[in-house]
Amino acid sequence: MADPLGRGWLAVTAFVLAALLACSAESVRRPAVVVSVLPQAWLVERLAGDLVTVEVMIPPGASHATYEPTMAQMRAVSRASLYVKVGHPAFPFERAWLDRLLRENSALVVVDASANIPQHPGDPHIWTSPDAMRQIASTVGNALADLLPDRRDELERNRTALIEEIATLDQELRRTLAGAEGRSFLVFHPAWGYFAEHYGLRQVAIEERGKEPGPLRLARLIEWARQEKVRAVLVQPQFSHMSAELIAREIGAELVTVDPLSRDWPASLRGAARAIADQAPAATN
Amino acid sequence: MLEPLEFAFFQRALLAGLLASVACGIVGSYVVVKRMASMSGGISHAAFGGVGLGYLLGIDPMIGATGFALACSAGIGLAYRRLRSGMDTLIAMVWAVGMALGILFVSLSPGYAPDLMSYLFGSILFVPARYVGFAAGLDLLIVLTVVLLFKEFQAVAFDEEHAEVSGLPVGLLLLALLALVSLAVVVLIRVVGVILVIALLTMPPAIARHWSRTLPQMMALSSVLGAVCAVAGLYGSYWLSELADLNVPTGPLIILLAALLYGASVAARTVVGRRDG
Repeated sequence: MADPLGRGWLAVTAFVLAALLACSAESVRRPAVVVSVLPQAWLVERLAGDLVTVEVMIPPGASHATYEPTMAQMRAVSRASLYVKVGHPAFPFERAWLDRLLRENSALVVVDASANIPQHPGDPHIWTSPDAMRQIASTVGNALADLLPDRRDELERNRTALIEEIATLDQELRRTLAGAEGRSFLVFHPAWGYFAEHYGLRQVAIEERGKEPGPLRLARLIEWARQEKVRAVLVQPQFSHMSAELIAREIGAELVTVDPLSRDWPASLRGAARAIADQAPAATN
Repeated sequence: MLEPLEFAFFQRALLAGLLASVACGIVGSYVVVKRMASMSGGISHAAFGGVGLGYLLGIDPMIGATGFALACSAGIGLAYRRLRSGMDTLIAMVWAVGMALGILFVSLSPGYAPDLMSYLFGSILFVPARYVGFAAGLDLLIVLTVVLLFKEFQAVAFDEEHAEVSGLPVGLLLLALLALVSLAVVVLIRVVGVILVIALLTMPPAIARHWSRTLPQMMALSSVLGAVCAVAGLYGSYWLSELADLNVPTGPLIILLAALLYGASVAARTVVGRRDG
C-alpha cells in the first residue's frame, strides 16, 4: 500500500495548520464579547472600541421572545471570552438559551448587566433607562478591564466618556420631555417601563398577556385613550402593528415606530422621548 | 348588545363577518355538494404563497393571495379533467408547495413580517376599511356569476356526466366554479386565515344541507348560519373577556361555534329522522 501521506500532503497539512494558528492568533489579539441584545452591543463598542469583536445573539429584526440562535452564533459563543447577559429573569431568550449556550464554552466569563439595578418584575428592558445604562457601563467596564488588564487606561478613558455621553443625552431628553411629566402613552409591547419610570411618564400596554388584544380590551383602550387625550401610540418593528394602528386611527393619534432594540441606543431613546413629547396638547386645543 | 357597536372597529368586523358569510354560504354549498373540500383546502393554503410574494414585492399581500388562488384553481381545474385518480396527490402538492413558497418568500423579503400570523389564522377585528369594499365587490361578483350560470353550475355539481351528455361546456364551468372558490377563499382569509378557511366553506353548508331541499335554499340557509356564527363569535369573544376575563381569538371561536352547531344539527336530524337525502 502506497504511503498516503506523501510530501505533497505533508506540505498541505503544514499550510493548513499554519493558517489555523494564524486565525487563532488573530482571535487571541481581539477577544470576542457576546451580548444578548443590540443596545448592549452599542455599549460594548463604546467601551472597548476595536479592542474586542462584538457578537449579538438577537439580530436586528428578530423578536427577543422567539429567536433561536444559529449555528454560526453557537460557534461564536464557543470561541468568545465574555458574555454580557441582560440578566433579567423575565427575558425569554436567556431563559431558554443561556444555559445551553454556556455549556458550549466553560471558559466563558458571564457578566450580569442587571447587577445593582432595581428590576421591574416581568419587564427585562432595563436598557431603556439612562440611569440603568450608566450602571451597565460601569459593570461591563469592570469586566472588560479584567479581560484586558494591560489596556486598563484606555478602557477607563472610554468609560468616562461614555458615562458623560449618557448624562448629556439624559439632560437633552429631560429638556425634550419638559412639561410632559405624568403623561400617559400607549405602546403595543411594554418595552419602555424603565424609560417611563425615569422620566415620570405612564406606559400603558396594548397587548393582552403577550397577545393581540381582544375586542373588549380594544374598546376599553380606545375609550380610555380618548379621555386621556393620548396623542401618540408607540410600536416597535418586531411586533404586529394591527391593533396599535387601529387604536391610533380611532383616537386620531399618530402611530410612531421606535425600536427599543436598536443598535443606535441614543437614537432609540430620542425617538421615544420625541414621540411622547409631541402628544402635548397643541395650543389650538 | 349595543355597547360594542359604538366602536368603528367592531362595526367593521361585523360587516366583514356578514360579507364573508355570503361568500361561504353560496360557494360553500357547491363545495359541499360537489365534494371539493380538499380542492378548496389546497387553493386556500396555496394562497399563502401569494401572501409571501406580496411581502417580497412590497405589494398588498391580499393581491398576491388573489393571484395565487386564481392561478392554482385554474391549474387544479385543468388537471381535474385529465388525471382523476391523481387528483388527491396533486392537491396535496399544491397545498404544501404554496405554503413552502409563502415561507420562502417571506424569509427572502427584507424587513419585518409581524402580521404573518394574521394571514394564517385571520384577524377579523383588524380588517381595514378598504377590505370591506373589496369583500363586497367579490361577493357581488360571486352572486352575479351564480345567478347567471345557476342552471349550468347545478348540472355540473350534481351530475357531471349528464351535463356533459347534454352538451354543456363542463370543463369551462368547472374552471369558473373553482375560480369562485378562490374568490371566496380570498374573502375569508381576512376573517379566519388560510388555515381555517376550509372550515367556513364546509360547516355552514353541511348544516344547511340537513334542512334544505334545493340548492338555493341551502345557499340561503348556510349564509344565514355563517352570519350567525360570525356575529356570535364576535360578541362571544367580547363578552367572554368582559365576564370571564378570557382573551379568546374571534376567528377560531367562530369556527368552534359552527362545529357545535353542526353537532347539534346532526343530533336533531337523528331525532327528526333523515329526510330522503
